[in-house]
Amino acid sequence: MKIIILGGFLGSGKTTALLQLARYLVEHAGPARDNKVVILENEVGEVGIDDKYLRGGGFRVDNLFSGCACCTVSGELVSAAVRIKKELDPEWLIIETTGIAYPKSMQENLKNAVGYDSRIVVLADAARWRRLLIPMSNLLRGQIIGSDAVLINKTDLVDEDALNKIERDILLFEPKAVIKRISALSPVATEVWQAVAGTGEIK
Amino acid sequence: MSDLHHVKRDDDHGENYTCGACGGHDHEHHHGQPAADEIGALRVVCHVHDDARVVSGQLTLRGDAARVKAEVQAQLGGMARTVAAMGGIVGHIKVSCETTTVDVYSVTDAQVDLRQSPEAVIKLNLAAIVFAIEPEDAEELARQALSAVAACA
Repeated sequence: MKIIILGGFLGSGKTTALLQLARYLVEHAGPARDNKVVILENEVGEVGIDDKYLRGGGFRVDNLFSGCACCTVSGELVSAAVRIKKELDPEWLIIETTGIAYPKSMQENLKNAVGYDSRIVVLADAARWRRLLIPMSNLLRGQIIGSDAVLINKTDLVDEDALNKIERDILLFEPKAVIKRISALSPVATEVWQAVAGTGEIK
Repeated sequence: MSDLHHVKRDDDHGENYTCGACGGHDHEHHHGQPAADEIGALRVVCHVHDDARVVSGQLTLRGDAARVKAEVQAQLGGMARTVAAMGGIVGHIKVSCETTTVDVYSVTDAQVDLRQSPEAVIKLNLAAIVFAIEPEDAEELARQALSAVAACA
């Protein structure tokens, strides 16, 4: 079971991108396993919103409510991952974090507790980046640290200069990050999902 | 304001992302009314998670779905504008709207009859995460928004 932790600030487009990512992974999954993709949805509040939307897309979705999987429900995160592997053993598990979670913490938790490796992919909201960068800088930085790929989303809403500035900011947070530009409301190029999944040639 | 009370507060977490290891983050829980699934009942609670005000709301009502959905849109826009006017930052404000109608088909001879429930049962779930305003204000904004939706139904 390969794991992708999908993070990013609130409103960055995680759920929208997740639907495309999940479809890509299903289409490119091997024939060996019955379950191609399972989604673990974490929402910090007491009610779920995105899980309903994702189920409407036809995917198997498990929930972690009422807490953040990087801290208050970190134990439940590990339990859920172990249970999903035991009961479903999908080729891919995508964990969508809350918009206030620190994916690196979740990655370390999964590794230290049960030895699961994972990749971190973070969405960055191009439209609100400049507005959020100063008041939310600690959170934005903390979310991007340790990421394998950063997808700058909503690129259709800003100009080239703004995108270049966002890329520079991201590289200051995580110099090793592979950065891709997307607009998740439109079809995303295959090479972006290859970068997310860690397959194919990373450009 | 609402009947808020403090339940739990952990050590400060700050910007240290390794909170899973230290068990940190900063949490404060505010609880409103008990769970309510019956028609017309409104439930809103607010938690504090680090700097975030996490508001959860539930409302089940019976009425015209199109009118309710239009009012939901109007109220969400209003909430966002109010948060901004208060100097706050909207992380997100979301409402899911699940609409249930009942169609009954029946036949005794050859004619198949259809009876439809006159109104839909609409279940609303609100999830809001905002920053830089008081938790009580965040909760009250959500309560007012859902109350306005209930009033329009």
